[in-house]
Amino acid sequence: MRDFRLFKNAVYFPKSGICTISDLHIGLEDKLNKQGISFPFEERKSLVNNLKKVKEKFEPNKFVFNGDTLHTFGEIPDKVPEKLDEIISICNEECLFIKGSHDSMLPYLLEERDLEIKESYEYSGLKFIHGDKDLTELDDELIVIGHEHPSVEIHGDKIDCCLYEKGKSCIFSIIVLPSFSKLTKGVVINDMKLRDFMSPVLRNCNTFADFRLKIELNGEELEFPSLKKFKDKL
Amino acid sequence: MKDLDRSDSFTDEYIFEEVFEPSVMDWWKNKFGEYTDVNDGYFTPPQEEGIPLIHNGKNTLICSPTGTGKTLSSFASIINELFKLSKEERLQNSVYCLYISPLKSLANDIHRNLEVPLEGIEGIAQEKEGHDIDIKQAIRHGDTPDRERSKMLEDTPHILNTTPETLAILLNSPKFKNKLKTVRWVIVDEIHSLAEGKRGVHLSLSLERLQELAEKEFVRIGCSATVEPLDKVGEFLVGNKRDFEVVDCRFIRDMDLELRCPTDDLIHTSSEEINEKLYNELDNLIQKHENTLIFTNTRSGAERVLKNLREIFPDKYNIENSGCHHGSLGKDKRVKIEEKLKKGEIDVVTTSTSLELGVDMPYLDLVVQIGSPKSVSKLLQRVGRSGHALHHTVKGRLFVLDMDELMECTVMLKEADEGFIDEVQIPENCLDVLSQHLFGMAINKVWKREKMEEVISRSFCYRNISKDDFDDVIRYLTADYSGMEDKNVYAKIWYDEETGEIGKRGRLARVIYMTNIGTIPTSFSCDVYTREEDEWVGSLDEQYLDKLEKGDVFYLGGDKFEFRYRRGGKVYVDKTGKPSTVPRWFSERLPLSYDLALKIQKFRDKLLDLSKDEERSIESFLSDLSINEKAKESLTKMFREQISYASDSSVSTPNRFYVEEYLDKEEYERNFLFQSTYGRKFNDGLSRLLAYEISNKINANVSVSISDMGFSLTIPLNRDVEIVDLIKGIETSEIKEKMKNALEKTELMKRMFRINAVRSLMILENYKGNKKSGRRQQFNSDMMINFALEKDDFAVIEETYREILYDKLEMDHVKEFLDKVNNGYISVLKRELDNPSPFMFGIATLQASDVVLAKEKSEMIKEFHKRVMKEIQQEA
Repeated sequence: MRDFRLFKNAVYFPKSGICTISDLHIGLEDKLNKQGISFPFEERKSLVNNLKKVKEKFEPNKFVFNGDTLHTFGEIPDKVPEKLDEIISICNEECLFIKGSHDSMLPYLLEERDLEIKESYEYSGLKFIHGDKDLTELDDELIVIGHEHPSVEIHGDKIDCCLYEKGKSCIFSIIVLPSFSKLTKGVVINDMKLRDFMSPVLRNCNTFADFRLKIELNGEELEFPSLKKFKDKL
Repeated sequence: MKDLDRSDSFTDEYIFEEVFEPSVMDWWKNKFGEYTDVNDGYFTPPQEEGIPLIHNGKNTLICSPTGTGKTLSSFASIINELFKLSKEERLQNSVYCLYISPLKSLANDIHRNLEVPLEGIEGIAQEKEGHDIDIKQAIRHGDTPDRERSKMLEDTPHILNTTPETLAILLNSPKFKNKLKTVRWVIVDEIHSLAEGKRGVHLSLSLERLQELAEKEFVRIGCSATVEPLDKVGEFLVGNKRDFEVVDCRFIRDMDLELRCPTDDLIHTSSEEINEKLYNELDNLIQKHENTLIFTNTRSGAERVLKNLREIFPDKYNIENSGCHHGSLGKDKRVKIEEKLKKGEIDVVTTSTSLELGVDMPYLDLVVQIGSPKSVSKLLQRVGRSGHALHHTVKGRLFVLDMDELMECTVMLKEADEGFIDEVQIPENCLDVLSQHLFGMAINKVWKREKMEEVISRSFCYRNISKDDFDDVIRYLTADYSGMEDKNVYAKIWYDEETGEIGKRGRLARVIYMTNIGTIPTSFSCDVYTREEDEWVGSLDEQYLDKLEKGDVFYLGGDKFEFRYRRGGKVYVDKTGKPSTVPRWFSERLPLSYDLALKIQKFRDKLLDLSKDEERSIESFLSDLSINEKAKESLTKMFREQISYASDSSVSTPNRFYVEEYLDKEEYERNFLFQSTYGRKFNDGLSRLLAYEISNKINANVSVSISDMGFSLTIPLNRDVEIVDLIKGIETSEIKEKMKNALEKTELMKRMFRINAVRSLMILENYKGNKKSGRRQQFNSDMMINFALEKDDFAVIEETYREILYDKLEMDHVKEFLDKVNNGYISVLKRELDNPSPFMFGIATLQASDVVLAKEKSEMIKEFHKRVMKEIQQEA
């Protein structure tokens, strides 16, 4: 399986120079505020700062936003276009958007900005899809999805993680990206089974036990063996 | 204002000649003439003192048991004054008297009780003097329909009967608040029950805001049953730097209290036998009395006792003449029982706490308490429901079913007899409540900060508020955090540092305030699922989760489960065969108070002295107490066994803290049992601190079980810790920070953060017509807690720590204790034993049940006991 790096919940493929980020959920804070949750999560600041750090670290050729870039359906809270613009400008417009389950309003915003949105994107054996729908064809070596917001609990601490599998239990290799938004609650995978995931792509795998995890702590990447080898130690 | 000479003023003549208007006097004489024999005059003791004091404009705290004429002792002077004003045609269409009570049902009762004198006096005035008098009263609380509320603006009641929450709303009501400018009297009823929680804190600020609005200083009247300390409660009533008088009639009724132990040997008698004896005695008592009220410590306990009575004596107890009353029953059912109690049409009612306050029960002549009521004031409040008239003796019987309860209740009766009452703890400097009121004040007008601070610090609960705390709250309300964007979205008020002015922000401010104020949290129950099969196995009260840590074992529907984690409103568990670590009743049962625990400690110390005394025996000492023969025997036996098995030093005293260590090789565990006689909140606090220290030291999990009489810590057998040195080595200056670390990620912290986030209006329960459920609130607050922890001095987090550390875990008492250990006043002593000593049985077998003994526990205790006895015999 090809090499990938993890930093601030973004994944980078050095060979192709692509950086992928999933589940920004822009506007989640605004939506909560509308529901009477008056707490400064500082969504813009956290998204922008982290994205800048990611850019500085990897200097990618292209950013692929792998779905659920927006949070709200049906309406766009006032501050969302601003936040989106800032993110696009950090990428120097070198970006491409994949449509996620929350992105019904994204095409309109992108059209105004002359940017592309796709159901999926393929590039030299990599396939980026959000993961909310099943695969239609299988000719790529590595599938990259978001949608699940995986995290792992270690000694009571919840840490976002990247899940991946090298084509043992599925007929393809797969990477599940952590959520880039700090506001979404990570879904703890410690006790999960395949059927507990939402993505049909994952549910159609044979077993969860062969999945491995990668986490990043202060710039250091930690690789874990397959879940079956260490799950009981968690 | 002139000073009253008590001996001259507190007489019938004074009241009739100097206080009462002729019509009021006539009504009074006519109404109470028949009781002059028992009352030794026309007035009961609280009336004889209260009426002149209030008439002379004194702030007055009246402490007197139910059934001693408290309502009229506070209202008589007020009615009299209103009557005079009305006669002189000076009574405006405005509020003169506010009556504030914690319960809506109490408000309804008082309304009815005032109708009689008001109508009576009006009738007499009409007939004799030809005056048309119309003193109006009305109730206003959460259930009052809009139509009636708006009517009150046109036709304003002179006496307004309300709750603390409604008062806070009225203070921000654009029109009605003007009707409060004329307030001259405020009565706070059942002040003891308000003072001990945040509702009271909230009320204390409302009263200061009301004073700011009122044209004159109003007279404050507090009514309370038995409470201690009177000076503190008095200060709570009147606020900082105001004078008050106390009418102390707490002990005017004769008491007939007795402790009953069903057997002389609580250890060996089977639970079936204890039950049989208990119910026979209960039946006997019920049959001998007109109406009997039975208090248990839990709702399920109340239901079980009723069920058992009906099953064992089917021809004596049925749906007609017996019933159950508690908070989770439907309103209809409760009202039905209340009606029957008022008319004396029911033989026996079982209850948990819901009948402690309010509702007159004139035919009630016996109160039974099963299990320990946990504090003397609770005991007196409950038994005081019987003989609801001054000339009747209060009659109460306490039944105990295990050894800890026996010791506890013996001490409780002894102390009650000697006039001791546990102190109420009044919370101070609560930042969430302060946030609500600052917001409310800013909605009404632009304030100078100094003026605001002055008003706030007039409340007893904020008399010592620091500038830092105040700053934290202003920073929170203005969303003033470094680098913070979009301040306007989150700010509730604005603050101009240059001019020192504060005002509200946001169009919706008033609506948000009106629909979200108050301090009573919405609670919810969690669904419990097994991790493996994802099977629903029951539901748990969320409070129960406060005591659960990963790995704790508890009972649910007859099976045992190990707690794994909670997600939102779902709790995930594993089925297990391990012994339980948290008793089922935990969240519901009242904790043993610190004060009373210290009395138990003293009592044990006394027994210890007696055991060495050649002049006087334990038996003769116990003979002076109101406990039955079997209780005496059981108590003596338990004490003797303790010292013969584990020596004199195995009793914790004011100078000794006793710890026992025993190894459980079967479970592969090392257990430390702490005979910590400082009450449950203290035990909760100290045990968490020690567990945190130990787990850091040995790098392994420590499981904690706590009870009223001690706690236990369990670690793996292959780990060891010098527990005595560890306790001695704790730096008391560091415990606050350590506790904060220990609390992080606990369910207790998460739940209290949610409650305080809601009370600080960070999560709005009611917003734009939608209501957020408790579960939803918890889900939202779980999202934000980590963000909140990262902010410096964030008011909601600070308040959460304050409430947990001081109101819930008594860290001030823990610190005092550790200081005494440090300076050698208390020595820590540890013994290693093969089995727990008798005093520690309860701590070692924490899955105690309520009312009916669980079989498992009694089996375990018997097992322990057998081994202990064998060892004593071998030594002999």
